[in-house]
Formats: sequence, structure tokens, C-alpha cells
Amino acid sequence: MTLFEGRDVTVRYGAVKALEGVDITVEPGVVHGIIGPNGAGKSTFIDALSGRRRITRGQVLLRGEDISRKSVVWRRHHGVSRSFQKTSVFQSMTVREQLEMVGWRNGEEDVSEIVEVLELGPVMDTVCSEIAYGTQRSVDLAMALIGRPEVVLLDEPCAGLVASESIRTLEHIRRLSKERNVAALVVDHNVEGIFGTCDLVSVLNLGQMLTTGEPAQVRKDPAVVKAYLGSAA
Amino acid sequence: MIAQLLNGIALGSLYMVLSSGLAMIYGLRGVTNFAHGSLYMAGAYVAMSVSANVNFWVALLAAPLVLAIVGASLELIFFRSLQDRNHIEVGLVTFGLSMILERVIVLVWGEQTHTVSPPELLTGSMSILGASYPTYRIFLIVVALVMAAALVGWVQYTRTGLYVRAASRDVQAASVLGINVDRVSLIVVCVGGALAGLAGALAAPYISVSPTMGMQILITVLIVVVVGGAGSIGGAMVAGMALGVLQTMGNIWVPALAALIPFVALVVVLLWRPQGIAGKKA
Repeated sequence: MTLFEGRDVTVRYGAVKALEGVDITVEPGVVHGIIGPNGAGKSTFIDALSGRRRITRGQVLLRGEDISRKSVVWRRHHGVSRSFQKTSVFQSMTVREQLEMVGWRNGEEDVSEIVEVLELGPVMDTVCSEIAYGTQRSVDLAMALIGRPEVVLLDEPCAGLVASESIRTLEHIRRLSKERNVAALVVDHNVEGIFGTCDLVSVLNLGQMLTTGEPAQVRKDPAVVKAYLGSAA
Repeated sequence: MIAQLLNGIALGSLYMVLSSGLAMIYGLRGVTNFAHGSLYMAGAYVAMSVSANVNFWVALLAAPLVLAIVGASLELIFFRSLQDRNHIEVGLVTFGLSMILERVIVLVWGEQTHTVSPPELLTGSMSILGASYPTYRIFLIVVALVMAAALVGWVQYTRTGLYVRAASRDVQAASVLGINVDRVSLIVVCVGGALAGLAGALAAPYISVSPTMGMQILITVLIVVVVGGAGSIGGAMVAGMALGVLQTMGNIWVPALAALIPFVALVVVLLWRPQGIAGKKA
């Protein structure tokens, strides 16, 4: 049985079609990237899958169960986690406070493993407003992964990071996905990073799924080259 | 002078209890709860009634309990279902509720002003730094300070307090991290209602009890919340105490202008530090 599935996902705002009949399946331990030009519907897709945006048509399935009408909190407690392009870090709290808080709410009281992998040990007792933005991004990633979710939906986890930090973040995502057997769906503008990190890549364009496949295959897809990658690819 | 300063602290204590509840509700629900003054007034009436039929000590527990239940009803019936409406609409609803509550009180207890005697143990006066001062007002100050310490401890050092802080900062992020914001909000509005009830019960023997007492204090308490930093519990406590002392001392130094002190404080803070004493920058 497929772990997590979006089937015919459609989101409309009045007459505007933000997403139209998009399908996706994600499996444990697989890092699945989603790329596409601005306005393609990538963030709307993550919102729809995470329950933040009500879908107009279609279904979101977790282990075969239709969870389309379940709340964001319900999905989080049942194994579907997400992060935002803008971090969910609370600036006035220490890193320890917020990681422990997420751990308490999601049944993983000992967060030391994630802290170690993401190298957050030295800043655990520092207030988030006083740590570097790149480290705040790591805290955000840690919060999405605490509680051992089965699926993490990451909306631009590298937004605002310099190239070296982006590569490191994507490596962390890959490592934690494999070690924890988590299905990771990653939306990002860092095309090379996505191709280099993900097991599968999907391309969204104008609210529709253009293609899905292994990175090498997608990179050569004429429709993808025409709509998004251009001759530079 | 000492007595006047203590009077200011007593008034500030009342503002502190009342405004911290209002700040909590604003911080979490983004609702300017114009019914908060009426909750305080209802707390005073509940305390008066229980005090007359049982005793003051039971009244001091009953008023917060009853007003916590009223707070829960407000959250479940109004705040939750109106959470996606704009602030003016929700504010008007709470204003209407305030008027209804006031009319209910008038129907039950009448328009007249009542007095409540403090319990035997708290009558008389005691000497503070050489000044004779009413024992009940010292009791009021002590209860308010203990409550303030308990509230700060709850918010800073408990799990629920941590969830309250998170949800007050960013409802969307809190939900995504697995915090049930509706449940947290129910707790906060109950605690806010209970604090209004406690303030009313404490005020009953301190000032006279009347149907208009809620409206009279509401504007000042709203100013306290804005000056403290909308949504900041600690800021509201500091601003409440400071305004109580300033207002009372102003009555001695500049009696003709004392009534303007809260408004002057509001203008000064809005110009100098728009986010309030402890508020976050926009």
C-alpha cells in the first residue's frame, strides 16, 4: 500500500485554477523533489497535502485512508509534518524550549539524535533571535522531523540560504530521510540541489504535473526543458 | 505619602490582574474583548452574592470559577466560530455581549450601588513604614502579586505555558508543530475570565459594586494592554502597576489633570514605542 498519496488534487480560487488534477505518491525513505517556475502551484500543493488549504476536488490519502478533511494538527499527530518557506521558529524562545515543545506534542521526548545530526548542540540554550539564519533553518527542519513523522512536506527549506548552506541542508534532509525511513517531499528553487539530492523529481507547471521520474530522466525531458529548465540544462 | 503610594499599588494591582487576562486573550485570539470589563463587574456581583450568603473566602474562589465558565462559553460560542472574521466585527460582538451582561446584572440586582464588607480578619488597618493602612488593601496587593507570580510561572515554566507562548506568537506555526490551538485558546480564555472574576471579587470590598463599574475600568485596562504591548502578559502587568501608581500620585500632584494620565501614557507610548513596553515589533 502506498504510504502517502495525492490523487487528482485540485485547488481553485473562484475561476482561478491554482492546481488541476495533480497526482503524486511518496514512499518511505524516498526523497521526492518538486520543482517548477514561480506560480506553478508548488506551495499550494504542499498546503493542500498538509491540510492548510482545502482542496476543491481530489483526495489526500495516508496509508489508503482519505484524510482530505482532516486538520493540520490531526495530520501532524498522525505522521504528516510540514515546514514553511518562512520558518516556524519562535524568535523569543530558546532552541531547547521549542525542540522539546515539539517533542512533547509529538511523542519524541528525547530529541538528542536530531540535535546531533543537525549540529544544534552548541546553540541549544540560545534564544533563536540570536542565532544565524542558517542555523534557524536547521531548527525549523528539526521541528519538522521531531515525532518521527512518516511524511515530511518541506516548502523551500533552503530559502534565504547561501549555496553551501543549501547543499548542507539538502544533505541533512537526505540523511535523516534514509536513517528515519521518512518520505520527504521537498519543494525548492535550487534545481541543481534537488537533482543532486532527490531520488525522484516532479515538475509542476501552471498548476499541472508535467512529469515525474528519476533526476536524470526528468532533466532530459523535452517538455521540462521547454517549460522550465531552458537550454541551460 | 506612603499611604498614597500604597493606594497606587492597590489600584495598579487591580489593573494588573484585569489587564493580564485581557492581554492573554488578545495575544492568542487577536480579539479585543470589550466584554472583559463586564466579566470583571459580573465577578464583583458573584462575589457580593456569595459573600452575603456564604462568606468572602468562598466568594473569592467562586467568582473566578463562575467567570472561567463564562469565559469558556465565550470561547466556544463566539471566539472560535468568529476567528476568521475581522477584528472590528468580533470587537462589536464582544461590545454587544458586554451590554447584554450589564442588563442581566441590572435585572437581577438592580441599578443601585452596593457595598461589600471585607471579612473580619481583613478589617482594620496595619502599620506600613510608619503609615496606617487598611489591611484589606494590603491583602489585595498580596493576592495580586501572588497571582502575577503564579501566572508568570505558569507561562514561563510549564508545558501548557509554553504552548500558550507559541500559539500567541504564531498560530499557524503552532498548529503545524502539533499544538492544538483551539484547546490552548479555551484554556487561555478560561484563565482570562477567571482573572477578571478574581479582580471583580477583590474589587468588591475595595470599591463600590455597580452595573457601570465594568465600563468605567474598561478603557483604562485597554490602555494598559496597549501600553504594555498588545498580547504581552508581562508588559500588561508592568504597565498596569505603573499606571495605577501614576494615576493615584497624579491625583495629589495634578488633581485637575489626573484623569488624563492614562491617555497621555497611551499617546507617549504610541509615538515613542508603538509596539508597547514589551510588545514585539511589527
